[in-house]
Amino acid sequence: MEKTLKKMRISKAIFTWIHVIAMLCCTSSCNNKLDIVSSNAGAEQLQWQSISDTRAALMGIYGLLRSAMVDNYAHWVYGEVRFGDFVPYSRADLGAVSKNTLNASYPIVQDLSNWRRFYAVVNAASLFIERAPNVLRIDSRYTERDLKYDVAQARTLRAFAYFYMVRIWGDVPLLTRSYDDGLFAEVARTPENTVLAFAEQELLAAAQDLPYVYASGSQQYYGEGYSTWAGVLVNKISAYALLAHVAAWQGKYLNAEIYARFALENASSSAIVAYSVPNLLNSTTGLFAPSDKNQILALRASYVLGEATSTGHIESLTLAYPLVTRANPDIYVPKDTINKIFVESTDTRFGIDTVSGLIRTNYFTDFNGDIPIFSKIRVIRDGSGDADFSIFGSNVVFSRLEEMQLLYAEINAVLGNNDEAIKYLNYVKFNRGISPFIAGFGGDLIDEIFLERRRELMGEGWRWYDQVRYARIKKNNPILNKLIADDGIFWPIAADVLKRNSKLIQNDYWR
Amino acid sequence: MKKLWCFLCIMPLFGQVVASTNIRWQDTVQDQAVHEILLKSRFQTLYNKQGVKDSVRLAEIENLPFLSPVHYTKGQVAGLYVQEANGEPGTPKNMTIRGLGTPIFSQKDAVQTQPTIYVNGVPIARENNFTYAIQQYQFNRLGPAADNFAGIDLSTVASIEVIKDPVRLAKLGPLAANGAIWILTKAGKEGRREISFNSYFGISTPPSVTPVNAQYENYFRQQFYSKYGSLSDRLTYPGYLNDSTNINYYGPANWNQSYYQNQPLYNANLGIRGGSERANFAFYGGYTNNGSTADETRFRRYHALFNVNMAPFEWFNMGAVVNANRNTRDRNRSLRDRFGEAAYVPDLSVPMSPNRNVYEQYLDVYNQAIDDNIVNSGQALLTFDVYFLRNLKYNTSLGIDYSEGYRDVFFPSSLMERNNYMSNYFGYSQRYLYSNKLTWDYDTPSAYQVNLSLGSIYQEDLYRYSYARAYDGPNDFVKINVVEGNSNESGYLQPVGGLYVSRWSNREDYRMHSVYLSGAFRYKNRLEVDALLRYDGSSTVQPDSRWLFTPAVSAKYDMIEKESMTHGLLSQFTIGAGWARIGKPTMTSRYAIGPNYVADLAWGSESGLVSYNGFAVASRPYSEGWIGYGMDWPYTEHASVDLDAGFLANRLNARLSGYLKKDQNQVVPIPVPAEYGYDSQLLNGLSVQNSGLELTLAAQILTAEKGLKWNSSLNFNWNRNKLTALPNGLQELAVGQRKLQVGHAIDQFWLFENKGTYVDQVDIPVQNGERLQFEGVPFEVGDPVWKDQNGDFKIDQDDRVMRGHAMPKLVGAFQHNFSYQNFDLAFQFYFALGHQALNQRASSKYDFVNNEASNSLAGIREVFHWQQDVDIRKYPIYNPWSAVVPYRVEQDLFLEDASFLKLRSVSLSYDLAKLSTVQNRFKSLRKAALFITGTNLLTWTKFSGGDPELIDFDGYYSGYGLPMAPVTTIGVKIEL
Repeated sequence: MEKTLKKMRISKAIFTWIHVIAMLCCTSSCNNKLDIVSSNAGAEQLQWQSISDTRAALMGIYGLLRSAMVDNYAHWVYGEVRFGDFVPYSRADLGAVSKNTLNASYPIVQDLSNWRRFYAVVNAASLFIERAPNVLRIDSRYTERDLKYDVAQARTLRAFAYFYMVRIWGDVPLLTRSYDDGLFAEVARTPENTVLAFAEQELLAAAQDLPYVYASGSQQYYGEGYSTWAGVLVNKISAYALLAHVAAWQGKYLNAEIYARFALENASSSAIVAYSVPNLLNSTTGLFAPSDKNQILALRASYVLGEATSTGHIESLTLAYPLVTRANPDIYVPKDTINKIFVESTDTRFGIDTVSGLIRTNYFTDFNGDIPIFSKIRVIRDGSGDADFSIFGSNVVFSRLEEMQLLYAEINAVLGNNDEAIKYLNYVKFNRGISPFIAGFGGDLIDEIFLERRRELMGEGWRWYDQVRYARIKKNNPILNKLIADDGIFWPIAADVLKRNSKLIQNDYWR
Repeated sequence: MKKLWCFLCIMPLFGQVVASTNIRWQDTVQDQAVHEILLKSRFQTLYNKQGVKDSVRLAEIENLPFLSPVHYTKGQVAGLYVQEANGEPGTPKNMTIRGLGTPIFSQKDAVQTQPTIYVNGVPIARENNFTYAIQQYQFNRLGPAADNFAGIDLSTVASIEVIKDPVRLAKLGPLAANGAIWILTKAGKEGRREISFNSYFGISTPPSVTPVNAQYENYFRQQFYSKYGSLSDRLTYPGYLNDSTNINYYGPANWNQSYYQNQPLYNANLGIRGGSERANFAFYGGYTNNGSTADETRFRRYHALFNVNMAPFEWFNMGAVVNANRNTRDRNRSLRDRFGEAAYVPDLSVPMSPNRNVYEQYLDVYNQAIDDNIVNSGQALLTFDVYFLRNLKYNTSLGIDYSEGYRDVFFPSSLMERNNYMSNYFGYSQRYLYSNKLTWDYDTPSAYQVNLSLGSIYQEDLYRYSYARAYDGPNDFVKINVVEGNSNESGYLQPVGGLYVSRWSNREDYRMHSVYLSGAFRYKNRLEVDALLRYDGSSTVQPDSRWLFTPAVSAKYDMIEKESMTHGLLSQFTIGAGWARIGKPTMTSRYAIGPNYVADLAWGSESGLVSYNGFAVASRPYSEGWIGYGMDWPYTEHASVDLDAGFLANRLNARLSGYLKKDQNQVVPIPVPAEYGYDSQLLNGLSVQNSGLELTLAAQILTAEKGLKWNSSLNFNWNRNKLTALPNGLQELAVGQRKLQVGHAIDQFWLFENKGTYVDQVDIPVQNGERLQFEGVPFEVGDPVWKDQNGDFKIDQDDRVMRGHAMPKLVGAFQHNFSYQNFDLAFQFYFALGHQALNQRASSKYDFVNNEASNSLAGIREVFHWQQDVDIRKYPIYNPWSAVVPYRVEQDLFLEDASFLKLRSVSLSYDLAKLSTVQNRFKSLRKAALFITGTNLLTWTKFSGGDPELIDFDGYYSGYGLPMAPVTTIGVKIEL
């Protein structure tokens, strides 16, 4: 008995001491145990440390720009639906945009008046410009050249975002730094000319640093070769093309001529070339497809890389049975409009094939049906997909060589250099199989250039801005003249945006 | 501060060392007789019953076919509100204790307000809602989306207590900030072996519906077309309504005969327990199968409970409990849920036919589909009590909660417009708690007693999931998404069959360390004072404010001395009051790291993107909102005053509690100027106050020994909430379709006030030659009249007013128990009053123009929409094509009173064991009851859209909740 008691006592003591030790171990490490590494988000001290951080941040800016341009189909609703050739099939919300009722209370119209997503691009780009030099000091793999290219891209994208916003809203607040401090001071709107002057100055500076191509030859950029980056990043030509557009939008055609000429003359250095219609629109290898074709400015959504989506592409608005399973498209170009625009039957975009006598289907499918399907851009999955699974992998092409040629023609026509204008207009016309413009025979040159833009760039988000530029040149459209005079060409600023910043004032026209 | 908590940690160690030197003294003064009593009492305290009066009367519900503690507790305790938004068995349900502490902006926020369920002291982890970040459609959580608590079978439960007392909650710590439900399972028992067997079988019967065919829909729509439709509108009239010879749509509408069917439900379980005074055990096991009448939904569960308790020495007692279960669900087959899962919207212009034959053909196709939902979960507790001294106890325990969910889905191409779909989900929640506690009782024959406890708890949670989605497989025979496994093949690790595969995975960690010191003081069994001091450190709070100090205190006084208790009308009367501050845990680690970087690639209609040009991206969390430094602990303050009175020798007991609950310093997204790219900024500072009164009356009306016995009880909770503060001193904040306004309730709807129709051009107000406008669009004939609240001659968001409440003002239940000889009869009535619902179902039906044109899931037409589920006499005929969107749901036109009273259950049982003939033959028979029950029997309500309980937690009635159909069961209950 005594013995078992003793044993008991010993085991109790042992038990106690084991616990004393265990608890000491536990408590001493407890505060450290509460430090965990979040898997959901990267902490500040882990970012801007290495070359992979700059790559992630740079791609992040492109990603934000993609979101900004495709959320609510912004690029096409702004550019193609408002006063556009496209009309909605039955959607009342798009009908409101089409009729310029931009203050209608549909969610999509409200969302499209919100500029937050474009400012996310601006903020991310500013942050990149401020923080990337830090990586140069820390990571030896990150070179001066990389930093130069990256900062120049960030500046170009930021300038592009400002240019895009000025086209939509006119005066917008100009923020040239990220103010990454959580203070969120309210900033008033800056006159559009100041904003565009800033964009121009940024683009000019960036253009000096941007290369024609990334990873040319045996070089690498972020460890990847030429084919990874071809047509993906902004380059020197992109910057000049943007400069030309910034100048043309302001009516500064003299400057625009210099920029556009540079872009055209040096396009081949960036392997940017003009394509015939079948090559341009080929759904697997064309310019809208996830090919490695170079273009002036485009945003990617590659199926192979898992970025194809069912929304956010023009196909989701325009395609319908039999190309995809849905019965009717959201928007379409009515037959009358098509017949009015495409006048020559030899036109390879839309015309009648002289050999087979059939209607060409490069731009439209089922032309003889009630609703012609706009199928110029139809990259279902990687472009070879069937109708079963409609996710789309097309690029958002902002500008390509033909667009720049027609802009250059426009600039020269305005400046009175008609020969040069006709030359570039006819480049495009020749490529599309239609008869050339001959001075004194085919009507007004400027009319003809804008008509060619209307045909060539249909569905690429240009129509509205072209109409504004055309109206500014010709001043022959009373409705648009009034809109331009009253600043009605701009969108209203979303009520939500106004509420967040007391220094903002609604556009006069929409007040 | 850090030093202080370190000191608090070291203290119990010191106690242990002192204690171990005292062992010799303890062991020599013991005596055999005392030992046995001591041992018995020590065994009983191995699992801590809280000892609160608000406990579930298990006898009243044990025969009913309920699945989850959510059902068990419903209506049983004042202050606990249980809402079943869906009658589909095994789906999550909502609970709140003493009101809503956090505004509900969307369904996923509901989890923030729920009480925690403890099983034998192990808190069950809720599924983390981080999967919603990649879900384009958030109708259900990704994965099996099951009720986290459905693993607790009623046959294994010994007691269920609902804890509302501030100090008790504070002792449980931050996890119990929203209240707690404390469940103890049946423990081993010394003595003769006890065997129990229960089983029931029941039928769930279809509700009566009025099915309609396209004729009805056509009539419904023609009134709009004839009044307002333009020629082009007529040209786009839906094809399925256009052709009245189409037998599929204009034929018989009898889909309901297939959709709703009688479904069986059954359960059987067996339990055994017994043992000696030194060691005992309990084992329970069983199977439950529960079908709902709608859409062949079903829930199956296997469960097992194992408990062993041992006392190797008097000073050393230990116990182990394992509760494990596996459950599976057959989910509903609605199109919304299917396309929501697939995040893919096909062409929706042609709806399902209302015809039974066509619908059955569809169901045949559905047989090829796979939709497996499996949850394995369990809780385990290992606890050791060591008595250093007779009155100095050291407890150490390890509690584990684990739950894993699988969902494997395959939808054949015929269901997904020629594009088949497969997805696989695996996720788990894992929690362990390691607690240590030293308790010292100073128990003298003198007038006062003192009890002190010092303890620490370390908790570690891990939440993980991995999910893969694949589209467009090669054919419908390959139903799994596999990759090429041969490393020599060119397509190594590439999906086989050209599938388009997207994969996601994520994890979230949560850790918490708490140290506390609590004390109780009792004087002459009349005065009781409890106090608690604790420090909690959380991994999800920023390091410099990680530790939160919270105190709690309560006092209770017995007004009537125990000796004089039986005299007079008043037999017992206690007054108590308590106050506690408790930290509220945050389950996301993002707040802890301050400014951060995420992949922000999503846009409004696309949320699953992870790369740009194949590269990972990092940017500031523009869409999720800026998180700065200085994020702090949210916390809650509970205060209550309790009166407890017994009358007529306690035949009538009345308990009244007044409470005030303030949920302070909570995080909410605040809008910031859009020019920085951020959607919002997340800031602490949202505070909500709940106040209310709870009353529980229990009466033994008839107590005749031989004759009729009648017990009755009534409980209710009157509650109201109020927003008391917003960050930065803001006075109001609009989040989505909700508005928070300081001084107003957080569950109010934010609506336009409807005043009729503009019938004629002259009705539309004109000022300065301009017509009244809705957000810039002039009103037309056929538009609704919305009241211009601020008189600025334009209708916009500023003209929306706060109306109604999503949460009931008064919730309660009353029950009656009659017993006469061997018969027992019980009723439960359940009611919720004074709340409203927004009838979104009606809004979507009327807003068909916008819903169907946009080809979104809002415009989906389910087979069960072919019924008269909307009262079409209630709503005016507006121009549905109007740009003002006349049938928007956010107007008081769609606001309805959702108050209801339900006869929730009736149960009748007859105990054969009380018959003397049976008793003589089977001596060991303790109980042999036959019973018959009915549940979900009757509903009284003014609500026009079906069952008013089937409303989402945010107050929207979508019409998607499956009905809670009447169920009748018969069963037996045998105890040997």
